[in-house]
Amino acid sequence: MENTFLPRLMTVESIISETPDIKTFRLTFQDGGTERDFSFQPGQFGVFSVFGQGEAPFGFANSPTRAGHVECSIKRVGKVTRAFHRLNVGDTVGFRGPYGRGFPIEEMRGKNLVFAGGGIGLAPLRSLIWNCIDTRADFGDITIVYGARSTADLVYKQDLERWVEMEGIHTVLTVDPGGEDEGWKGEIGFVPAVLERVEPSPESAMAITCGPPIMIKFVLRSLTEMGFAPAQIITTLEMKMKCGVGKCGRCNIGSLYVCKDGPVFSYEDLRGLPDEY
Amino acid sequence: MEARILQRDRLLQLVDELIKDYEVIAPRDELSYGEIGSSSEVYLAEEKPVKSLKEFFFPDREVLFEYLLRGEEVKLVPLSLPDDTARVILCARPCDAAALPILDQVFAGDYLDPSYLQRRKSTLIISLACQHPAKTCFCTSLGGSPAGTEGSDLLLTPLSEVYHVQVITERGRALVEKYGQFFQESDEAWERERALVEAELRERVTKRVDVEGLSEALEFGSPIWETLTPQCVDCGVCTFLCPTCHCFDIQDEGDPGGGARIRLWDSCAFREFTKMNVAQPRPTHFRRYRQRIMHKFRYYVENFGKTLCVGCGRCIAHCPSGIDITEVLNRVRG
Amino acid sequence: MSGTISQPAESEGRTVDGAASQPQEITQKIQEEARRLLRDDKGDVVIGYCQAWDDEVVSPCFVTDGSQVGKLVFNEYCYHNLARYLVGCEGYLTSRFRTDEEAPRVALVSTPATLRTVVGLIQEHQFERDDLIVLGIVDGTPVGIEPDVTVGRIKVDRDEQERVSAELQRLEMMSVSERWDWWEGQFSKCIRCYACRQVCPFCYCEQCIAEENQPQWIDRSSSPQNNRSFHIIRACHLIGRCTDCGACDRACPMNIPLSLLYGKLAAEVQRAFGYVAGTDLEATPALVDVLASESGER
Repeated sequence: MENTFLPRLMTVESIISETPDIKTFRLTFQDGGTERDFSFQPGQFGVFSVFGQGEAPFGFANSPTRAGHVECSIKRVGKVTRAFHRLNVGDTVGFRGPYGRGFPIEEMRGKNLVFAGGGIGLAPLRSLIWNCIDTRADFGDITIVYGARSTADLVYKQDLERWVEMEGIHTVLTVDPGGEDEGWKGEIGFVPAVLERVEPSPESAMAITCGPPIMIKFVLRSLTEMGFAPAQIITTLEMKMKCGVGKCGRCNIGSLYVCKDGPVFSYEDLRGLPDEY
Repeated sequence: MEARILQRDRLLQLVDELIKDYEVIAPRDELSYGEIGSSSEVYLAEEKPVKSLKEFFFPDREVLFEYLLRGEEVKLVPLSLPDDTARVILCARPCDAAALPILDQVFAGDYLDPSYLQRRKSTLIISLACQHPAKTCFCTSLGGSPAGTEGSDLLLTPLSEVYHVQVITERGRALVEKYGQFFQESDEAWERERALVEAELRERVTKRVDVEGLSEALEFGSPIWETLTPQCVDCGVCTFLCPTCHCFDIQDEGDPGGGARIRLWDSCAFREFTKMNVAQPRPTHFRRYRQRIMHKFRYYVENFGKTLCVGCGRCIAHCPSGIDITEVLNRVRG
Repeated sequence: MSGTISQPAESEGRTVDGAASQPQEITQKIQEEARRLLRDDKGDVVIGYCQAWDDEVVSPCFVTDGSQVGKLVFNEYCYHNLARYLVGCEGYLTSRFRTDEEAPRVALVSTPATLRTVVGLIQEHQFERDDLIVLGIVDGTPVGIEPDVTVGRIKVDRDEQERVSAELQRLEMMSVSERWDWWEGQFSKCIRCYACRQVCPFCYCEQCIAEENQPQWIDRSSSPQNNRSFHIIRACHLIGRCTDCGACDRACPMNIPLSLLYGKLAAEVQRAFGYVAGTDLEATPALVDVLASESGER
């Protein structure tokens, strides 16, 4: 019988410093095979570990359509994330997963997609966005509104540049007032306000949002005002997790476990749950 | 009901025989069950041990695997499963045994925990009916009984002169057959006496809580939570002593050369339990206590169809603030 | 804090010196004072004891309404140190979940050990004397604070004192290695439920070193080594502060005799510094004194 808690070993292949406190790690399995025995969906997550420092859950930031490796973006906030930030290329980390339910891609097929992301909340959206780009014919219009506190806090700058230039994708970037620097060509303002200016149509559309809790709260409000029904809005939640398989008892909202029954929820799902997240 | 009779004075002899063949665990002192090396070490008291049986299946500190660190390289040393030395737990309290099928939902249901399963598989449980239910006991409200059989392989019920031995499982039958020389067949008179004894023991459980419709009556949004248990100090006594509470943490412990990833008991009473660096969904006491009650009496029922409580009363007996969960439940119901 | 507590008249509510009061008299007096404070709008909450699920069990209780005053009791089972509920991030006087304006006026039923604890907490600037209405129960030992109302007079539990001191003597007779093994045996029983810390009024830190993980001073699982680290570090943090109320000892479900550890520490502090925690509001706490003199400030 498999021991769920025994991780697979991965090597840090590259490290990108996204912002002063966010790094993206590109990892490959030491035991070879990726496609063969490992697949995931955008929105799912893994439990990553630095041995001696512990484990923490992070969403996949790359698209399964570009597999062969795993990417995760980690903000330096606590013990484990600090340990990740001290890693060098070539170091070994632990991985177990994938866990949780990803984005409802089947449901999104044929629809126009609206992405609203803030800060490091772009990570799971990035996984889905590249997935959609790589299977472009399956989806309608794609609108991306992404913001951060300042230009220095924008993640995946290379991806952002490509999305801005890409045909058939409407990408709007913004920074909080005061966060702009010389030469900033994007918007200035908070994501919900910018989203309202962009005013995507709810017609045959789905909106996917991830970011700081306060941003998500106002994005939900803005989308609702624009006519998006709760079932058309998808978000992904962050909770403290240990096991990743619904057993350790801490990430529940009511009788649902975010690690197992989420982390992706529709706004419709969330409205039926206790307000404890 | 299949049953045997064991003469009172032969129990200790049986224990010594079992010790020759098995690792035998029994109440060892007022605090806990533990492995015994001789029948003289069995500690039979009115009060149940402070700690339940859960540590023998879900240890408070369990090594998941070890790791060795050599520069960039990491070597993992998976732990071999607990050896399958057959264990016999003797004189288990029926409530402690009843907790195990409830824990099975977590560790042996949709997810299979190898070490838990291994321990469950290799352990035979001989319970002893409670002759002195405490003031804090309320097992009868949860479908249990001082002479309950749930989770046990054999149940000993002390009658006037003998122990009545109820055979509950196949494994139990195999054991009484293996040690056939200790047992004789029961007869109708013994069976009648056993039924009377159980009825009398049940009468002695006086604390009650009405669980009928309880899960529907527990409302997350009710204002009552905020003032329900202000005296609670957020310690882990109730959760750690509870035979059914099973929340855990995972931590790395070691030194720069290597160490182990450990699974350890954790508690919803602790602030750290849900605290993230950026957010805390349960920042105040009442939210944490609400989680405990909701998990036991509503969420677990919704997920597994069982109540996460056997009415052993340890959380009442040992609460440093004198909280009585049955009173809490009765108040929440209004 | 409002700081507008009116002091009761000097003669009011004092018991006659010397004689110990009956528990029922103390109960009655506590109820009287609580009723008066709530009725006259001099206090918002009275923290005291009420009967719990058994005659021999009481529970801390928080009375905010005159109709609930009858719940308040006092008897020999009232050993909980209620000062615990004043402090910490959710404490009545120090909660960070409300504004200063919303701070309630608190009256606290205080045994002699609780009185000494209140002194210590004031010394540590957790709150000020005027923030609290003290309903004191005294026993003739020094308490370093004048209760606003003395609601009772009890006897010192000499039997318990003698039991602890005899046990301590027995430990002193052991060789160092025997004593180490003995304590190791005690700490190995620990299940890390933190009841000892959670009932302690001096363990008000929002972030305890036991949960600090950068660096990880103490590993969390209950191994003999980790448990020993936890208990020794906690003891070190309480030297010269612990008022030896015994709440941790009684709260421990595993019967670890923490009173011996903390009784020993208190005795050592008294021997080395002539300092008894909580007996003098104006005194500089022992360790503050030592640290200051070591850093050359004195």
